[in-house]
Amino acid sequence: MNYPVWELPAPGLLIAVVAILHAFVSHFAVGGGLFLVLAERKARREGDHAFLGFVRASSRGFVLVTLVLGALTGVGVWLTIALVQPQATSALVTTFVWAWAIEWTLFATEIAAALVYDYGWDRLDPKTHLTVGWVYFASAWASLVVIAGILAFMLTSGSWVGTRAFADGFFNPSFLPMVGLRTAAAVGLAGLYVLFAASFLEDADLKARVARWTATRWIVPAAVLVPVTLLWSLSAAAGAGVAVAETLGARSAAPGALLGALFAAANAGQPVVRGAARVAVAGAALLVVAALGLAALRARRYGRFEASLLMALGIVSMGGGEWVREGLRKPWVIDRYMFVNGVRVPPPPGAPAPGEDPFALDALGRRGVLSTSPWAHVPAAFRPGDPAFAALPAAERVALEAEAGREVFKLECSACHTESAHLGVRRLVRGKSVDALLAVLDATAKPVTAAGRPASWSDPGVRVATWRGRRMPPFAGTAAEKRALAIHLARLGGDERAGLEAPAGRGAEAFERHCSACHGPESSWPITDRLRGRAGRDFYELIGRLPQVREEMPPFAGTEEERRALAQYLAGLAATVPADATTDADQPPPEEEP
Amino acid sequence: MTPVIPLADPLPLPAPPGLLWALLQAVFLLHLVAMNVVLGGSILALHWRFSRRSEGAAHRVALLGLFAKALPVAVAAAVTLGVAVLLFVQVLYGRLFFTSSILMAWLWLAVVPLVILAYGGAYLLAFRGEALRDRARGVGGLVALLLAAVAFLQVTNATRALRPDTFLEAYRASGRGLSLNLADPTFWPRYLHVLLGAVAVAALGTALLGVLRRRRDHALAAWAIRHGTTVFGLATAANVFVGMLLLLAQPKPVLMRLAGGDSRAMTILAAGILLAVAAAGLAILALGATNAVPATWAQAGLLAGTLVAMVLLRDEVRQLALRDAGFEHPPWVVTQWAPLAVFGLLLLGAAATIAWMTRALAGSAARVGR
Repeated sequence: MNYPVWELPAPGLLIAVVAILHAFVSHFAVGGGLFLVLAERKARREGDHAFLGFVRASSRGFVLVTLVLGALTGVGVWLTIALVQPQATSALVTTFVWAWAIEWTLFATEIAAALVYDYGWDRLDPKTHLTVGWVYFASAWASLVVIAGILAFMLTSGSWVGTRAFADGFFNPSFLPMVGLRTAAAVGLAGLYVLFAASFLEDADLKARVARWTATRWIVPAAVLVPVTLLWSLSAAAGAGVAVAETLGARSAAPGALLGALFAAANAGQPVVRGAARVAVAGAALLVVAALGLAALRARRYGRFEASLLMALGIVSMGGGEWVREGLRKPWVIDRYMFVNGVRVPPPPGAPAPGEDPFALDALGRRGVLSTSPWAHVPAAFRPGDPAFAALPAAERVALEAEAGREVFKLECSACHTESAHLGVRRLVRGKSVDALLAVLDATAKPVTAAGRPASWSDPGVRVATWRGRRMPPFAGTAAEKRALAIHLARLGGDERAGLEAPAGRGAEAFERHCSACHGPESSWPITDRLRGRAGRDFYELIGRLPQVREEMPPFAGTEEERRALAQYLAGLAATVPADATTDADQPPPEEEP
Repeated sequence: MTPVIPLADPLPLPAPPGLLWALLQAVFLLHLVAMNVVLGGSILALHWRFSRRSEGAAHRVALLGLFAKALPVAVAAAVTLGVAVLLFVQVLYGRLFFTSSILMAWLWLAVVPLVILAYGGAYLLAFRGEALRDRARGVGGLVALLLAAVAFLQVTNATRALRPDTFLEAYRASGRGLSLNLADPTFWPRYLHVLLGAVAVAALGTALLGVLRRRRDHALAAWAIRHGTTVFGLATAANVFVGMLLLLAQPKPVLMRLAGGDSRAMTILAAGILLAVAAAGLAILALGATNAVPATWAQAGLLAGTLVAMVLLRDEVRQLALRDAGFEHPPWVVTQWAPLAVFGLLLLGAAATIAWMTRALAGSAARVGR
């Protein structure tokens, strides 16, 4: 909101596609560098000219892919995040400019070494050529270490939140595990590349030797190291406050619980992240089995088709893994500093700060997002609190609110959501009332302590409590802006009179406010399916113990008066339910809900 | 309209702006040289490929071969140095650069596939040039076209970033990231200035190549020096004229300062013009000289001075334009000494390692040549 918003159909998806492609190529560049030097050394020591010829032939393709695709997709990631998340990119560049600069020196060395290695096969003596290869691998791996530090910082910013010091941010709790995980992944991807390159060989004996050497020395170690370092990473992230278990729908962040929850049919966790995790785990397992099976059974005969399938599985698994990392980080884009929509939290007491931050949650709540963002295009007549605005005819006033709500949506929601395309909200808000949507907006992420007690976003050790695993940032803005957004969303959902008609009676009002987000007429769990045979006192009693009825349901947050009115309202509805309606309140609900 | 500049992050600058500024100018100068070799060389190579003159035909073919081999390395250098420019531009001018990029988001993002395709084409010419036969013309033309398109987009972004007074209007017109900046009076002169400058640098590079290879192949060297000097002189002379158009197209307050209102800006401008005129004049005079080698080195010296002056002048124009728009660097600076020191050491280490590897390769090439 400090920057203009690029209106595109799938902002998150665009970052994901570019980043996954780059992650695949860059990891494979690191592992491939290690492969080239180790394989060249082995071939020279054993005087194996056929194997040396293979290494040499595969190095050209490897260098081409590294230089052309690796370097430029890296630039692509940088450009893309700057376009979609300029606030976060600016913060990362400002905080880690010297880390990027260090990475650049390594990158420049890596590129130069790759070129010299490629051009030097006939021109350098073997010792110098191997040394250049080691320079290439060392600089590529060191570059991975630097980038891992910055990516890990985004997930677990450590004590940086309170100090704003470079070292506290870079050497954060998930830094070392992430270096380990990415190194292991790089080794595995190098193995995949070698299998792919060997598929072009016509010499069946050489192909079999390469495939078996690759399977035992590259694929098997990676198959062991990747799960170990992955669990280390998840454990470190959970220890630093990342909601690993909650997001993946597990009871704890213990390895068994996580794995069990992933493939259980529970309606918990964040559905997209759970799906990505399933893809990553199943894809990686299948990949290892297929690669080992290929090396054991078809080492002499496999071709490009099988090798390409393995590469595709590699991209899919890696993509799933990167998706999970992104999902675990939400609602933050930078842990405990900035939400995914660019809204920052006020700095903790004692943290260095230049003065009040207009784009912090509290300041936006006071002044409003529309008046703070210079890019908001708000109708001049939208002046909540002004008697002239209140005196406008209702239809005119609500139309202005809806227009303002569209701008609020653009500023606060469009980093992830679109209206109708990728993660489109139109489908999610269909049939929902303004009050129900206000309830959803109130049920976004909340700050809690490690023990789960309410906290402030400024607390250095703050954790995120979310509603049913959905990791949306809290609404930032005034009450009038929140209502404007709710009206806009309700109209998107098909209610053209949204904001004009209030629910009739206190019970109906309480139902809209507290229940209809999940139990409205067009929701996944309509209340009418659950009413038959119950009286007012039954409902009153049920409302008092909602989490025991279904653990996904939050405790009733209304007043005693609202509880009574709601119970009566539900009893009135129950009397109108046909006799053959379902009464099983415990039937499992589907997963499609905002 | 009123300039709209996003607010600075509530974070300290990690080094004094002066240091970041110096690094930006240094890496930009290096990027400019590499980029000019790539872009200007591709345009020049196109001329060599399509020329029907029988005179020098064999030399053109030889130069095309040498250029094709050098192009992938030059692209790698231009991209690598461009990344460093991107870093320091973002930390110093990110608030303007991010905004101007978002306004042309799809087009700006297109730079990546365009360069990937150009890079792929460069490798195709380097390693499969002979097998391509007549299709090499098409590939060479495509590479030049792609690189010229990248320059077009870069100029679009750079000119937009200097005009925060147009940000809001452009954003209100469309937030879909497809805004060009063709209505900016400086756009076309600046783009032409970039293209002509690139051709001039590549042409002088051709002449220098002739100087360096004069003992190995005298005839080729003589042709390369004469051809390179001719094109360099003509392109530089034309670019002095285009540069004047670019100067006159500047917003009035900027123009007034360049014309005398700001002594530093005026001095740099005058130095740049004088050096360019001297370089073009010397090139024309050198065509009649019996020994062109000293004159070619002198032109190279003048060109280096011109490039430094132009980089500084470009920055002066930015400072003048942004000062009027109310842009200032945030005053909060907390220098990160330890990572800065690591960067400095690694930079030296990288330079030494790259120099060692290059020398090892060049030394072996010389041995092979003997």
